[in-house]
This record gives sequence, structure tokens and C-alpha cells, in this order.
Amino acid sequence: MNAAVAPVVVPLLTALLCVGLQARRTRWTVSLAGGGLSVLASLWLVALAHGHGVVVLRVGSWPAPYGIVFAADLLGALMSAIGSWVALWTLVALAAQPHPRLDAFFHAGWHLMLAGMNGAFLTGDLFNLYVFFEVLLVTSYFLVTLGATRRQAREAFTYVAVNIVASTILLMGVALLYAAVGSVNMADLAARIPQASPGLVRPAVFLLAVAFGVKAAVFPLYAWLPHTYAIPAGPVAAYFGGMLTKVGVYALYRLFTTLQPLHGPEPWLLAVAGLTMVLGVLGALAQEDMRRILSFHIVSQIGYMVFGLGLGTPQAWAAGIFYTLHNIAAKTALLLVSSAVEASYGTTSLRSLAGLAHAHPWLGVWFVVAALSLAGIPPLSGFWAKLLVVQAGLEAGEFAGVAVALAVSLVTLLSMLKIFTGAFWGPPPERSHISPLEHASVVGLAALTVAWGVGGGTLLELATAAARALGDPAGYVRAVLGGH
Amino acid sequence: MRTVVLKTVAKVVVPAGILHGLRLLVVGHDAPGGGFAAGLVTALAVVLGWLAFGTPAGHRRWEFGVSLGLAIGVASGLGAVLLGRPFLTHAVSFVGPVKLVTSLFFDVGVFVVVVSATLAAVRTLWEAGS
Repeated sequence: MNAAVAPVVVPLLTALLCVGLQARRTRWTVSLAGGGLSVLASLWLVALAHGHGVVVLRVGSWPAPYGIVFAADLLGALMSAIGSWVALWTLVALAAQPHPRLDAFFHAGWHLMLAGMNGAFLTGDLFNLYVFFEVLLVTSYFLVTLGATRRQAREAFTYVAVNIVASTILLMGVALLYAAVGSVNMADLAARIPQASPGLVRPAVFLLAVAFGVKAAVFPLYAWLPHTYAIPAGPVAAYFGGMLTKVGVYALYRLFTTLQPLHGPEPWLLAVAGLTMVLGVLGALAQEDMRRILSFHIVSQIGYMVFGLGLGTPQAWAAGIFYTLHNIAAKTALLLVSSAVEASYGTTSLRSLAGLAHAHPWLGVWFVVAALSLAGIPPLSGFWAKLLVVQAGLEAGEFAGVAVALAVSLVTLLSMLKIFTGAFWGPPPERSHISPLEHASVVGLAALTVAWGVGGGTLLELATAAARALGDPAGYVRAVLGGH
Repeated sequence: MRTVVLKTVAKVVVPAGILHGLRLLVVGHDAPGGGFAAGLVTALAVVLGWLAFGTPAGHRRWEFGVSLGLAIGVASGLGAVLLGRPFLTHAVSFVGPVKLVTSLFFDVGVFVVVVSATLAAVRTLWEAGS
């Protein structure tokens, strides 16, 4: 069904239109409308995947596993829906900080990166996963330097270098798996890996895990992230911080459920998850800058998602998926607050800021909502997310991991308090204007964490269904290869 | 650079190169060629023309060509969607001995992207160098 490719084609066409249009106002209208359409397309896909299972599209009518296949299961569809949502609201934030000269390129970059992300979430072909990773990375190289300051160019160089190395490792992994199994179609791989020579499959899976680990920024491959995410324009950082690493997390989920399914707790993944949580949060504690604290927290939170994956049961995966969706909403909201503050006050350093809660009470409210959600305070979505992960950990008997997760969430709360006391308390500053568009963008994401907190049942049901589908690779194989 | 020899050779090679590029575009469905190769050959011929006779004056919006080409490529796949077939499904039919394929539109899209992107890159380096 063509629905599987709609969340890729819609942003692609929007990007092209935006480059062609000359009038600024028309371009903004088309761009935002395209963003809205992408959200609708991906929500439609969620409904289809929830109702009928994996939505498969054999591009060009070439039969699987020979042709290119899009296979949208519920996890992929959910990720593409939240990705489109984040793209839309970060674009709204960008509308408040226009760069007249670079406008057309920002739009094109925004939608092309979304096309790449959605492609990565929805493809049923490992090589195409690599291709879509490249699409989103090339666009991200470009977005990270928009603004063209010397500092951006320097930090972007590290970012590009790290990612090129990771992409090469990814490509080697795909090639090795192709050598071992003779296919790059994920369903075909899932069906044939068990018969293939483990001497080739194991190193291939290791290479893929390393490559996805770099993209997801897990321990010990996260060092590039906090510095890179501190330099781009605010809305770009929110877009990257909210979504990019989660594409890596998604790929890890795909690797260790569909392709090489885990059966029960995987000690090395759990160790990686625990270390990612701890080192990320400690890094955050040492920072004196809102944006840098939030960047380190991206790393720390990735640990929880990998912890859910590493427990190796569908119930734990459901917790991990819930956590991922919640975290994307809460984290992007926080980064958008930081972006609004930076646009109006020229800094995010906690030493220079004070009293924002007096000047902008509503911004303070939304910051507190998102921050408490990130730390896991009821009744926000973060509470349910942590509860589910902890529950899954206890059931698997991973008490050490659970203890680490709980301790880290206390430290998370501490560093959120640090931002609050540093930037939002204190004597009111000389008031600077914060655009209603910035407020709208923050609310667009913070509202999700409230909604999922109060009415978490719906999301939990979706996450559980998605995890159940992951726990049944045979069903995925049947859906893609069925009839051949 | 602009010697008599270069100009004389270019007068023959540039049109021949462009024609050869277009030929590769058309035969690409069954024989070696296709939009990518055709685009590179054509762009090379144009660059040779620039070397011999100088670059055209004025600023060109190359990104427009790139997005136009991409749009042609995507649009070539959307026809199938309108008919309820999978995205990018193409049709073949014969008119007498002539084989017509709708995937030619996709190749034309690739061709336009490659020509625009190559010329944009060369022009940018050119301007940076002089």
C-alpha cells in the first residue's frame, strides 16, 4: 500500500516546492502546510498499522525480496508520526527567528531531513536504511552550519567526521551481512539469519550495533553529541536533540528484535545502558549552561531506552517505546524553551540569566511541566515511562539496573532544579520580547507530555501493540514476503 | 586557456558530447546509459564549452534545477499511485517498433538533477578560483 511511503514523499515534495517558491509568505504557508500534511500522513499510517499489522509497499511492483520494500510496522509508524510532529513545531519556532537570506534552504533542509528520518523508520530494506541515514545526515550537516559562524564550522567538522566514520562502519556491516546471508531485505534477513554462518553474522551484527550506537550516542560512543548540539541555531538544535539520536535508537530496536531477536536480558546492552544513563547525567551536572545541560541529558535518557531494549521481553520493549515517545516530546519542549530564551536574551548561560519566571510566567510553567516530566514526576508522561521501565526491570530481576535508573532520575531532577533556580528564579531581568510563535512551539510538545500523562492508556496500548509486533518477527516476515 | 586549438575542437566536441549525452538518456532503459551517466556526459560537454568560450554571464539559480529534476522523478512515480498501483511502478508499451517506457520520465528527472548539480559545483569552484 502506498500509505507506507506517504510520510517520505510528502516532505520530499514540500522541500522541492519550498526551493522553487520565491515569495517568503507563500513559502512559509507551503512549508507549514506540508509539515501538517506529513503529520496527517504518518498518523494515517499509524492507524493502518494498528488496524491491519505491517503496511507493506513493494516499490515499482518489484516482488520482495528482489525489489525495494517499505514495511511500516506500528513502531516505525509511531516514530514517523512523532518525527513529523517535532518537525512541524520546531519549524513553527523557526518562524519566530527568521533568517531572511537563508529561508529557502532552511525549509528545504527541514523537510528533506524529515523525509530521510521517515524513510529510515519505514523502510523494510537494510541497505535503504543506510541510504535514508545518509539522506538525513547530509541534510543535518547542512542544517548544523546554517548561520555560518566560525564556531559552527569548527564543531560541525567533528560532527561530520564522526558520522562519516559511523556510516562507513554501517555500510561494512550491511555488506558483511549480505555476504553471510545473500540479502538486504530485512524480512528475508530475519528468515535466513538463523541458517547463516555465525562466524560472519556475529561480526556483522557487531558492526551494525556500533554504527547505530554512534548515531544513538550511547556509552562509549557519545562524546561527539554534547558539543555538536550546543552550536546550531536554537530550533535546529531542538529538532536534532529531539529526533536524530532516536533514529539510532529505533535502528537498535530493529536490529535486536526483527533481525537478531533477543530472548531475555542481554548483559552487555544493559551495561551500556546503565553507563550511558550515569555518565550522561553526571556530565549534565557539571555544566553551567541551559543548552549544554539539556544536551548531556539527551545522552542520559537514551540509556533508559536502551535499557528497555536490553531486557529482551516484549513487555520491556513496550516500556522502552513508551519512554522514547515521551522523551522526544519532553526533550524537544525543553530545547525549544532554551531556543526561545537564547533568541530573546542572546545567551543560555545560567550565570547570565535570572528571573525569567517573572518576565515570562507561561514559559516558566511550560518549562517546569516538561522538566518534571523528564525527571519522572506524576502525573506527567515521564512518570509512567519510568514506572514501566522500572517494572520491566524488576520483573526481569535486573535490580542493579533498576537502582541505577532510579538514582539517575533523582540526579535528573537535581539538574532540572539547577536550570530553574539559575535561569527562572531571581530578580526579574530587563524584559525582552518572546514571540507567541515560540510559545506555541513549546506548547505543541509540552501538551503531549501532559496528555500522555493524564491519558497514558492510549499510548501504552499503542506501545504494547508495537512491542508485541516486534516480538513476532515471523509475522513481519510473512507480511513482507507473503505470497512468494 | 582559450587557444584556437581548444576553440576549434570544442566547436565539434561540445555539440557531439551533448548529443551523446541525450542518446545515453534515451537508450538507458535497455542498454548502458541512463539519466545519471547521460547527465554527467552532458554536463562535461557544457563545461568544455565554458572553458573554450567563457561562462555565461549572470547568476543562475541552480538549486531550482536540482529541485525541478527531483520533482520530475517523484512525479513519475506518482502516476502509478493515482492508478492505485505501488509508487514508482512504470509501464512499457510498443508503438510499432518503438518501445515507450514511462520510466524515461524518472531518468529525465535524474538527468536534470545531475546536470544542474554538476554545473552548480563547477561554477562555484570556478568563481572561487578567479
